[in-house]
Amino acid sequence: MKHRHQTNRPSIVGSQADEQIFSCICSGNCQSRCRLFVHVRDGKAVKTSMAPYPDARYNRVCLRGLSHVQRIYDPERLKYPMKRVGARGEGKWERLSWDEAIALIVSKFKSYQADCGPQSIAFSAVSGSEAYLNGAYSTYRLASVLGATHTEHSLDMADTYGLGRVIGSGNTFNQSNDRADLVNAKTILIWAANVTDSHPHDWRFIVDAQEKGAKVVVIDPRFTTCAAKADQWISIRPGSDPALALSMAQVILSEQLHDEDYLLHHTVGPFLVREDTKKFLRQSDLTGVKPDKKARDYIVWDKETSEGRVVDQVAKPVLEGSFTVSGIPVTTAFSLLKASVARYTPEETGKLCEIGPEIIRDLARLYATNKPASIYNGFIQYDNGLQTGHAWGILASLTGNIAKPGASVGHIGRAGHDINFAEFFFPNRKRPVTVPWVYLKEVLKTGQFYGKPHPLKALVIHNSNIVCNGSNQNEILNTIFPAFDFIVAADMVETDTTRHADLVLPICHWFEMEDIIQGPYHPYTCFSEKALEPAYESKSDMDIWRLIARGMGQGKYFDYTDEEFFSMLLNTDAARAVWLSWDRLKKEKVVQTLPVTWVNWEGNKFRTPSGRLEFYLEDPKPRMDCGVAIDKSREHLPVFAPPIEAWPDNPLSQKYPLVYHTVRQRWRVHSQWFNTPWLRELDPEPLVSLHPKDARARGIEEGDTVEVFNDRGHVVLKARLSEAQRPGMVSVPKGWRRDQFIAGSYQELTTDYLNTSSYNQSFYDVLCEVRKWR
Amino acid sequence: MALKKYVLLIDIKRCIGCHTCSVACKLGNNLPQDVWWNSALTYGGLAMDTPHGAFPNLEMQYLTLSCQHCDKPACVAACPTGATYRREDGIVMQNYDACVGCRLCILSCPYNGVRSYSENPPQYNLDFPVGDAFVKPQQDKTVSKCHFCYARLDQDLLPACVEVCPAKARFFGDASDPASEVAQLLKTRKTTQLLADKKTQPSIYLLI
Repeated sequence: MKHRHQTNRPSIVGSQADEQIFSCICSGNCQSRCRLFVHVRDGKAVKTSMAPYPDARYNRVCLRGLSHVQRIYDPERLKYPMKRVGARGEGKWERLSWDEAIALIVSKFKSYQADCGPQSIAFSAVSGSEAYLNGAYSTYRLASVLGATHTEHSLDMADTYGLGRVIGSGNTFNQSNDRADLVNAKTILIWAANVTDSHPHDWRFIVDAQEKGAKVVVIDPRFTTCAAKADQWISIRPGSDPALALSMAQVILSEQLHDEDYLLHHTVGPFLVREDTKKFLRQSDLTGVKPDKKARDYIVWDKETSEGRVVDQVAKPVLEGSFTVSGIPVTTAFSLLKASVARYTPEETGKLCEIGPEIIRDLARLYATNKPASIYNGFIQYDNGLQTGHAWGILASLTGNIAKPGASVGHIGRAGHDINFAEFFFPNRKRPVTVPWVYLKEVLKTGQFYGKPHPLKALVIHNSNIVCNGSNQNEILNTIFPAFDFIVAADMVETDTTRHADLVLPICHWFEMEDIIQGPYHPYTCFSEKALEPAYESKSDMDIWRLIARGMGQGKYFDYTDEEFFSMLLNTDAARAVWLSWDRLKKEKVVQTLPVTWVNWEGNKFRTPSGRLEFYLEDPKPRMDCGVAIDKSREHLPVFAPPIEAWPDNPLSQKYPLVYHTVRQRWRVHSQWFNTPWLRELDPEPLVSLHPKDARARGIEEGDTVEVFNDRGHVVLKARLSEAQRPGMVSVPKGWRRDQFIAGSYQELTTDYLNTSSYNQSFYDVLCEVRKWR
Repeated sequence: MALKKYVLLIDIKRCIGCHTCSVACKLGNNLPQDVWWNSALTYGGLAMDTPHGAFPNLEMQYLTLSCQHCDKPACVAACPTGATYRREDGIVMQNYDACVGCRLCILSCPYNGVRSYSENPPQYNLDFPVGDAFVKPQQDKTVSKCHFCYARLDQDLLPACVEVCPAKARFFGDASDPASEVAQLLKTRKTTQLLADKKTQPSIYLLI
């Protein structure tokens, strides 16, 4: 199949007269971070094209990357700073000069600092750009030197953290192998992801594997493009994912398909769990002598000597059983797992997932025996995401489908390890207080964080369109925003967020400023050149933070040019080890900093306290530390907890019988590209997708205008009847601006339920009803 | 030297209907508003991204549709002015300057939606041309369509839609060269053609 990859040759640089070509990166949060050439004629960007990487397998561009000219020259670009003069959201603005805008910010900030303390200024960024200097990370430095509050996004982190606790990746996406390694898999379970639309560049590796004979199974309630391409599609009930994963574990264990050797040597399977404390038994428990902090003095049961001994000294530990060691009753972690998943028989679980028991058995057998197997998972947006991630970690632990070519699980995020974030983010070594976005309402309500007064006055939003993309839009607009005295929003164009701010700042398009950016969907570190002068009066993010810092008397921390910051960011031993330096990057634009088709966790070295896969958690901690205790007894091993709202047992389902799902489509990345004319020609308006049965029961025909609603809010749009839609579930596309709907917004219906273990926005854990509109 | 015979192969199993090819064509050729020379169609239900069948027994595929560059093009036979003509290498061209807007090509062509025609001057979102510098401006009362990016071929570049395909589902080349990738694929893969019964002998093959 090698010729396939050689088919796609990049454009030849300079092939057209009077055209300048710049090497830039499309920096949005699809995370593909594609290298593009920006073609400039007469000072105007006329084209973006696919630019080459050293390894052509990674060359890529998509319909969004090809429509940048329409974003750069969007008539809705913000042109100059603007101050609100009417009520919030009323749309009345007064033009300010940059000097006036910065002076306003500085005077407000200074008065809040004096009256309420430095933490009263909060910064909120998500993922508008993933570049290092001007992207979502760009205010860490300012927040740090101001002693301000940093709000954490609370997005996509539930299953991520659930799996992260097992493999030691914690609160990061750095879990899977390189996506190009998928070609080595014999089984690929695409679980809750529509790869073809959300990560189209990963599809080539999956279909390459499929052409080599790999079996591709898609687990998704809806019949997606990806499901249509798979060898098998399993439509489960929305929100039943952890039950399916736990039942697969039950099958693997009851049919003895597990990899005993792997469990013994690379997981906590043989570790002995104390009946009293639920913690692993350690040598120090027996001797009373505390070893140094990092000692891995876990006790296992030695088969040969029939006694508990330190794991390193035991050639043949026992995987199953209960024992008494020095009077302490213990059971192996493996036995606890086995007992805890025993109830998830395919028969019982099939009822929860609404699939036949044989489907679960076959799926478990395929994953456990047709190796290497990879799970390509999307984000679980139900309240039980944490349990789902944990259960995926159990599947990998049982089968050893991890840390090998073709065997992988989880999200991808291997980047940044060679970047000097510490010095760039925290120049005075002070970390700002971090409040998860989902917990912000609590802090505003109580005025407290971590048991201490924590008044908040100003909110600076950049690289984020929180009003459009955050859950429970009415709560953001009617509770969170009004609690702030002063809201600053920086963006390229008018968004739902800038429309509800007090001060709006115009930001450069990505190709109007320099930056550096890394994978993880390719193994390269890239320099994104400045191809164009900033449009109108727009500024780069960092230039704005420099001005604010100077006004606040913290200019010394920002007395660095962009190039000096780049040198700082790349000043690490890890960068030098791969010959990455600013001088080289500036010259070559692309430097390979990871191996191609890299395998994560090579040698089964996991970043957990034990260094093994910790499918049993001896001391589960919440994802974010807000000083709120959790019930640890519920989190040592996962159990199936139904979604908090979107489940038939919920009495609310009598009133709102449909599950409300919001879709990431190929036409946008979150809310970006929402008004790009070419893409709107192809996808002119948002449509709610309904199964014809559900539509007919409500007298709804194709193209009817309907209202989708629940107690939190509503959205009015036209109906699309589709057999692809699972009955009982409706889907509305994400990312449209409020005025693109007939009324309301897709985000009015979503929940901001606070889960103090996962601190995650559960966008799909929502019930609704649909009716014809007027 | 033998004559070239350009063909385009589209692997239906790999194609994901992402429209990247359509947008690359739109950008590269600076196509006006509402003009698309290459469309990604859903083969399934009545609307885009909807399947055939009843839940959960469903099927859906994608199909990109553009000028089929027929060896025996009905449009060339129908064109009264010679504006539509076939090059020796198989590319069916449209000479805007010679086109009188009679649209007999549209009527005679077995394929719907591969050409554009407007009474009005072309409308653009931006006030300067985008795409490749060598692109000829569109005209009103004139038919336009895919030309296999002939000017890119002259520069040893692939057609825009082929270069960008994220699924690596598109293959372009000279079928008369037995060593070419397209000749190899035609030999080894099962293929079909759209409306082959019309006997116009299209140059586009679907790998199935």
